[in-house]
Amino acid sequence: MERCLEFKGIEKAFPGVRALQDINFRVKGGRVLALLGENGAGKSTLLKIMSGDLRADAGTITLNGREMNFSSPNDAIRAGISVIYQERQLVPAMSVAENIFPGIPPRGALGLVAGKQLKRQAQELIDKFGLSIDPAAPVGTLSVAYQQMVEIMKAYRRDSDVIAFDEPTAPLTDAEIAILFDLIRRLKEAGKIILYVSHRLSEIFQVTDEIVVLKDGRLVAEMKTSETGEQELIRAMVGRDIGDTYAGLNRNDKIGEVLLEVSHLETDVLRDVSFTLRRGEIVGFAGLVGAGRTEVARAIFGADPVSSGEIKIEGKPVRFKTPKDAIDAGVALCPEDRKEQGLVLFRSVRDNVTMPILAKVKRGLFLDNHAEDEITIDAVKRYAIKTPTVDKIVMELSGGNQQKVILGRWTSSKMTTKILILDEPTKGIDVGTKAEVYQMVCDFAGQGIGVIFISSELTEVVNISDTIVVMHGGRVTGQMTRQEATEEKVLALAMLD
Amino acid sequence: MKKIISLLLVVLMAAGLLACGGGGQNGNIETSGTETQTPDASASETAAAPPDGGADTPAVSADAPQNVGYIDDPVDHFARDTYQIAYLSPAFMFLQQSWFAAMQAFEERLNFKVTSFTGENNSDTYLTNIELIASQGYDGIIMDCEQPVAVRAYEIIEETGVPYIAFVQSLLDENGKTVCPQVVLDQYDTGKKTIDWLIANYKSYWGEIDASTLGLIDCTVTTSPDLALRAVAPEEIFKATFPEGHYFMADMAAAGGVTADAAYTQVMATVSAHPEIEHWWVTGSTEFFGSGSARVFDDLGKVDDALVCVVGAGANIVDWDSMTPDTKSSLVACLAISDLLYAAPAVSGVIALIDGRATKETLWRDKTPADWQFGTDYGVWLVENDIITRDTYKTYFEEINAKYLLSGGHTD
Amino acid sequence: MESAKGFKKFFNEKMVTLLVLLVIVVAAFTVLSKNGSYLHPANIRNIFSLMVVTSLLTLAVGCLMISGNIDLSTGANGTLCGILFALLLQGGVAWPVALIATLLIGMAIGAFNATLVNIVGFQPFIATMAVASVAKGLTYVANNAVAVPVKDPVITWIGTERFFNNLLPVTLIIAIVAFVFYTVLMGATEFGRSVYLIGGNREAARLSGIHPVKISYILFINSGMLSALAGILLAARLKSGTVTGVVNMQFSGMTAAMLGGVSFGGGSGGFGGVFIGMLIINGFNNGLTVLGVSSYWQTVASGVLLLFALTVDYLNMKRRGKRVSKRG
Repeated sequence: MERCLEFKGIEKAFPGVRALQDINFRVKGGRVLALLGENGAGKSTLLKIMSGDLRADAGTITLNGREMNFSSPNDAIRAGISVIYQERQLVPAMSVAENIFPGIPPRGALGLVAGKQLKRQAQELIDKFGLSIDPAAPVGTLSVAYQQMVEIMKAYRRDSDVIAFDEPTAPLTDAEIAILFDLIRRLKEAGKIILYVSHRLSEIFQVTDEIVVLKDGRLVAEMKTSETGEQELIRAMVGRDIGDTYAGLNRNDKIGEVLLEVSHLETDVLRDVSFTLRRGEIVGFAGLVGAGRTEVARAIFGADPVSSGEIKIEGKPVRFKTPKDAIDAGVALCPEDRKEQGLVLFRSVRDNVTMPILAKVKRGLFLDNHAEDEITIDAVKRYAIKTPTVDKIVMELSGGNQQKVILGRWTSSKMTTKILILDEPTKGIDVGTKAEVYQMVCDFAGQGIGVIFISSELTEVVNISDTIVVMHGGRVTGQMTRQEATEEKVLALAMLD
Repeated sequence: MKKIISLLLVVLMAAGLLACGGGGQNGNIETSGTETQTPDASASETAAAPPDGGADTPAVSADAPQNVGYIDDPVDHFARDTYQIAYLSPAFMFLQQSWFAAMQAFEERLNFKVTSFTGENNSDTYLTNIELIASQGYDGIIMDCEQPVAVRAYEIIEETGVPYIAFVQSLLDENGKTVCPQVVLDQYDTGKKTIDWLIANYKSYWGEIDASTLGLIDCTVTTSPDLALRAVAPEEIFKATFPEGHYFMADMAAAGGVTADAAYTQVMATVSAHPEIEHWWVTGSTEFFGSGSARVFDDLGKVDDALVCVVGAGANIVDWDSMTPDTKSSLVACLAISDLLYAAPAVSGVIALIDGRATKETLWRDKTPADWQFGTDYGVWLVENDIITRDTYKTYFEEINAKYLLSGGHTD
Repeated sequence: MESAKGFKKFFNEKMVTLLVLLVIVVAAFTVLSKNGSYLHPANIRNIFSLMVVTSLLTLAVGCLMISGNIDLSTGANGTLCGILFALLLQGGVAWPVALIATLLIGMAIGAFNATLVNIVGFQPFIATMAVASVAKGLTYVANNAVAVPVKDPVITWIGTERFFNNLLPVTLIIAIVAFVFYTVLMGATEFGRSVYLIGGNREAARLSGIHPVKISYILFINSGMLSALAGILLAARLKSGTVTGVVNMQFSGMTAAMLGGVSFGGGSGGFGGVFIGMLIINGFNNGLTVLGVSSYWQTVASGVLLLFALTVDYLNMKRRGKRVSKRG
């Protein structure tokens, strides 16, 4: 019988928010369905309801003709639904085999026998998928990409009818993405129902058969991948014509004198990195994950120690031992991992914005809450941060607004940032806000700030930057201007050993 | 959901409070053994033997009323309201619970109610509770106070003006002199009795032995002056009687305190380190050391080579109770201090003070030994005690209970 | 666009729960006690008086917990300092000198803790526990495990004097001043805000120019100082430097902190809530004593209260944790 997953009339509301309204669609076995939508459109909620993490307020999910009623994620797993999340759900200390077949612990003297059997079964599965992984290796020693594949095999072994992927390609290199897509193709051939959630439109066109678009909790479009194009999708998701995102930007072409000079920078990861940044210039750093771009940012910012090399700001050599030194000199960093390194999630918007300027918002011995509010409100207005009050906990904001808070922190009225380093600023942000961020970056440059723009999205880097620096394995492999650059050239340099 | 849980917990606590407040006023304490029987009222007036003397008592002045503050005090306890007495101790452990139960045994006969208070191992709380007790209107206090805070406790309790006696631990001023009537043990004497008994009786177990093969492990608690005193006589007398013998001191203070396990650890270590010693004696300042030490010899298979005689009976009696006549054990004797022998004078004395028939200065003066090392300005009631053995212990407590016209299990 | 003003912030959900709990406790005991003796001024004084020493330990560990750290050596530290203080006085040292010297010793122990945690890299839980053991051992060694009497007239005056007809102990004034000071420090200054930010996300704070290591040192040294002060005040109140000292008060302090919203996870809680938490615990214990409830039940009740505090903390963390996963 052909497998079939059907959502009928799904509704879900949270206090103050109707996350899902009347969702109806169907997916058949052997198909890959893309779930598209801006952040906050309801994709995650839908996935959670499907996986048993949440209960719908109304509506039904039917799998292969049987109505599903989950009271826990375990129920969903047993019913044949597996979700591969962005966060790994593996036990790092246990082996690949043990993770694929959880719940079968080796026992005592018989342990050896059971272990061997486990390895054999795991190896069968690994071969079936055409991978090269050692089943005995502790899962924690594998790269993120391969860990993900272990999870896929785990789901496969459960004989799940439905396998859903939530932003699976974020940490992967292009080579690894290819392997992943190959895996997905095999799963398709095995007749599984595949759901694919991602922001990367190019991938949607590569690997999916059908697309469902959510917007503000409603299902607004349903089409075959082969019958649609990027523009139409974007319009459906955002409801307006973005046009050519990059062409519409208000750019600044006034590039001034040299602001930052990095010469032969060496750290434990970097080798002989050199480049310059001018006032009003946007220097983009391109490269694959692990190329060393974040390390450059952190070294300049004083967050990591520098073993040799020279950094000059406005012609004067500087040695930053702590981030505070860098901040005082006018350098600012928006870290790669917004939640882990950029924000204090349980504190308010205001507290997050004023973090570097606490010393400047004092009246006598005490913090001046009024001044803090003013500065924050100003930033919120300037960047159109969607939040009802400045007291809202940042955890409750969407990814895009969170990023704006961090940008607001470094460019608030009391800050005198000269060099702004942005590490993956549009990661996990919806298309609409991305465009806003791009414009903000151009505006900063227009004010004379030197911007370092690190991104793994090739299109982004190539189209935003004035100059592009490409890195691989801790070294700079090439530099070029925006006029010279093409995505192919940059990619070639990014993979150059 | 979480709101419901929070609400439930709050309701639970409130209910608990009501339950405690309503019924819990110490009425629910059951301890091992003592059941109060209503004594024959008339019999109590003409009651039993007068308490034992002990040391030589100084001459009592002719006009001091007889037996004031003694259990057989011939006053009519029912010609007055029920007195509310507080018993305050630093912690409420097994011993304190036993004493408290013993005090409760006299409630009906002497027309009072006793409530227990504790500092919960916190001296600050202890001192505050003194004032709390006074402000709650208790008529008298039986106070077991730790030496470190004695000076301050004395100041506080004097300020309240409530009649009190010191119990178990001597209440001394900065110069080490008593400041009020006390019901205490002659600590030195208790230790002496144990070593005397060992010396007098060891031959009936072993015959003649070579003193150089004899070792004594003396379990002490150096952080407690009272308990440390109990270990002094065994040391002195053993060394004097057996110069060739081997004396070992085992200090439980740093080894985990007053527990059987601490004794076990220390004694085991000592015995294991000296295999050349064939005969072992163990003395100690608390009952737990006896119980713990005996286990060592059980485990080492040296039951016949050891004699254990410590100060304190409770835990040892529990051990004896669990043994059949065939069971061999090195736990041969101990010094029993019946809780009744502690409680009787305590409650009688406090009642006499509350009545006003005795004052702080006059109570029990006749009982104070003339050579009492902590001063003779105030009454000192030395609690009676006797050595009991595995064979004699059962009848011993029956006799005590009979003396106080109580029946039921023994108290220890 | 406005921001929620102070009043509303103060009376958030948690504070209301605490206040309700406090009212229930007070009302219940007043009704149950003879002639409402629970609420007599002298007994109110008893309740507050017993909070003095513990509150200092609570302040010490509370600041650290907010920063995401923990200090399990406050009790041992305070006890050691109490006995050293008494020894110094006994040895003829003038009381101001003895006071400062002892506070410095407490601070040194705190600095040692900070070094173990920040430079050597031990887990604060383990490191401070180890330091506590060492301090405890030294306490026994200090005077051969015998308590040291405190006779200095100024110190004993501080420890025992009460104003206003025996109702306001001097030590209580000291504790109140300390409490107010730290509440203001943590709530309204740059330093306090930095501590909350570090507790919320240490790396994010560092990348915004805050010095977590420096602040960690300050907090540990502060904890050491407050512990020493607690030990000193206790010795003054007891007129004796004891071997058990403040050791037993350490966990009661942490219970109050947790009840008041200071989480082990760091980055939350305020001393206002902590104060109410302490009132609840002490009011509760005092009430049971007033009613003459047996000690067994008092221990049970304290245990229930601790469980309640932990549940409150857990539910609090879970609520925030749940929100995170909702965003996906």
